[in-house]
Amino acid sequence: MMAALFIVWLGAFVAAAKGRRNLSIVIGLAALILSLAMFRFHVSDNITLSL
Amino acid sequence: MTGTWDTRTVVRLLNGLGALVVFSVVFGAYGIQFIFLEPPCPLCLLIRIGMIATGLGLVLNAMYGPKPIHYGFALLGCIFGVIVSLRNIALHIVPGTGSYGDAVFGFHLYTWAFLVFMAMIIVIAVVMFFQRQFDPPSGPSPKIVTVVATIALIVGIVLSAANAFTTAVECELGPCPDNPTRVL
Repeated sequence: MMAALFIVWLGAFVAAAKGRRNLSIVIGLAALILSLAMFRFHVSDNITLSL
Repeated sequence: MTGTWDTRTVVRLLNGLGALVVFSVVFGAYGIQFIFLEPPCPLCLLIRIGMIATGLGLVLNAMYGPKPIHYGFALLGCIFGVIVSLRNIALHIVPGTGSYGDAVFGFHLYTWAFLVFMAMIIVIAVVMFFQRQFDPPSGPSPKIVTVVATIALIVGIVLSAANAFTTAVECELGPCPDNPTRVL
């Protein structure tokens, strides 16, 4: 799953290389949201906060 | 050296160099992975993603000229990295709870990553003060600016592809193990 995430990031860089600046940002934002979801997945247990 | 050196050009060069600095941190993590045979934990991989996201914003600035949307993207990448690295620090912050990996120059990699992300946020905020970078270009850019931007872009592509490959080998198709044992 994490490897697929890196491939999405690769897509953002490739879009930037091909001159598709806006597409690169859109792919990057999607990748960032997916990365947040992955982060949430990996901290889904044992979250105890004492604020 | 031909080309016009104005605020926009200098900032483009700084963004390209900044992207290379951020990418060099991921290369350093790769070095530790393969030289000291320390496989990256899932949070460590997510910290790399934060570096790559920050680098993408800076590369876009270097390639296409500074724009607030590029800086915004880089800042979002930094904030993501801060969140992940703080979580990683918090996991081991209580004395006696151990740590992940060996310390480098006194700090663990996730602590270094936190400091790098915070430094990037400050640097980006300061660079954004220079308002004239957002003016239209006054002439052709010096070649060195384009070369640095292209190198940073290629490094970003190589890093993303390399991480996709090594992560696929380490984690296979499922979720990455919390305590990985295989480097590659």
